[in-house]
Amino acid sequence: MKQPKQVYTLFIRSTPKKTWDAITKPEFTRQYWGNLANVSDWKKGSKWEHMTKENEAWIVGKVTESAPPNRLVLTWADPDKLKDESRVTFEIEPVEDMVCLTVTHDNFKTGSDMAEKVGAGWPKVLSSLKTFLETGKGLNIFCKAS
Amino acid sequence: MKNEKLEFVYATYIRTTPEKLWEALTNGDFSVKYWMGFRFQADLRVGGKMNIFPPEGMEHLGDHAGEVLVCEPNRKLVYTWNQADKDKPEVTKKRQGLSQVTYEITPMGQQVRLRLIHENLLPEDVEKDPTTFKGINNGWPAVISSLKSLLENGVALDFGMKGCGTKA
Repeated sequence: MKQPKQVYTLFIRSTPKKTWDAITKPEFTRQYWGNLANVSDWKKGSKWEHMTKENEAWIVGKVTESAPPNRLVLTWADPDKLKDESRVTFEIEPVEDMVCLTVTHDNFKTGSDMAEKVGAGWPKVLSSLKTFLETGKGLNIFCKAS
Repeated sequence: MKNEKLEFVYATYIRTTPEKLWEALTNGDFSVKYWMGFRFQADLRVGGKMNIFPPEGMEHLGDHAGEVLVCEPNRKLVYTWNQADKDKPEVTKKRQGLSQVTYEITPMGQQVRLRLIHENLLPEDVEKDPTTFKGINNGWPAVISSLKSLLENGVALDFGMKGCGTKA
C-alpha cells in the first residue's frame, strides 16, 4: 500500500527569519495555532512539544534537523502512542519579497491514523500562520462550517 | 501506470465572506491582480464559456478555454480547463477529455474555506522542480496564496517572473 504523504505549499509576504520565529516561538504560535505553543530549544537531538496553556503536551517529538531560518525536521507523535511516530519537515525559501513555505508530513507508520487526523489540520494552521504574519492576527483554526 | 489520472486538491482558509471570495474568483478585474496578470472571464451559467487570458507576452501559455459545468453563486463553480493547448503533441495524445476545476466555498464563522479540486490531470502536469511556477502543484498554491493576501490585506503577492526557491 502506498504510504500517505502530505505536502502543503504556500506563499507568505514575510521573511525567512520571521516565518521561522512564528513556527518556533510559543508567544507567536499561540496567536495562530489554536492557542498552542511549540516548545523546544530547536537544536538537533532536542525534544520538542506542542503544548496547551496548561502545559499539557498534545504532540511530542525530537528535532532531527535544524538549520534556521530555512529548514526544520521533527518527529511527530501523540504522547500516548509514542511508537506511532511520523515526520514533519518545514522548508522556508525566500522568493522576491516573500517566502515559500512547504510543510511535508510523511513517514507515517503502517496502519497509523495520524495522516487522517492531521489531513484537515495543516491547511487550517498554515492559512492562519499566513494571516498572522501578514495582518498580525491569526484565524480561528477550530472554526466549523456555519 | 498507463493513463494514470491525477487530481490536485488544495484547501485555504480566508478571512472574508463567501460573496467577496466569489467576486474575486470570477471577476477578471480581480484576477489580474492576484493571478500574475491572467484575466479570468466566464459567462457564469451552465454551458457558458470560460477563458483565462494570459497577460501580454505570455500568450504561448494558452487561455485554457473551457465551459462552465456548475454555477452556484457564492458556493460552487465547476469548469473545464483545456490543459492541452500548451502541451507537446505526445502528451496531448494521452489526454482523455479536458481537465476539470472545482471551487467549493464554505462559510466558517468569521472566515471562509476555499477548496480547490483540479482533476483529470496527467503526471506531466505535475512539476517536480520546485524552483518554478510551472506545474499544477506549484502554480495553484501561488495563485491562491496571492488571492488570500488580496482579500485579507488588500495587496496581492508579487511573484515577478521568478519561481519558488529561485535564488536571486
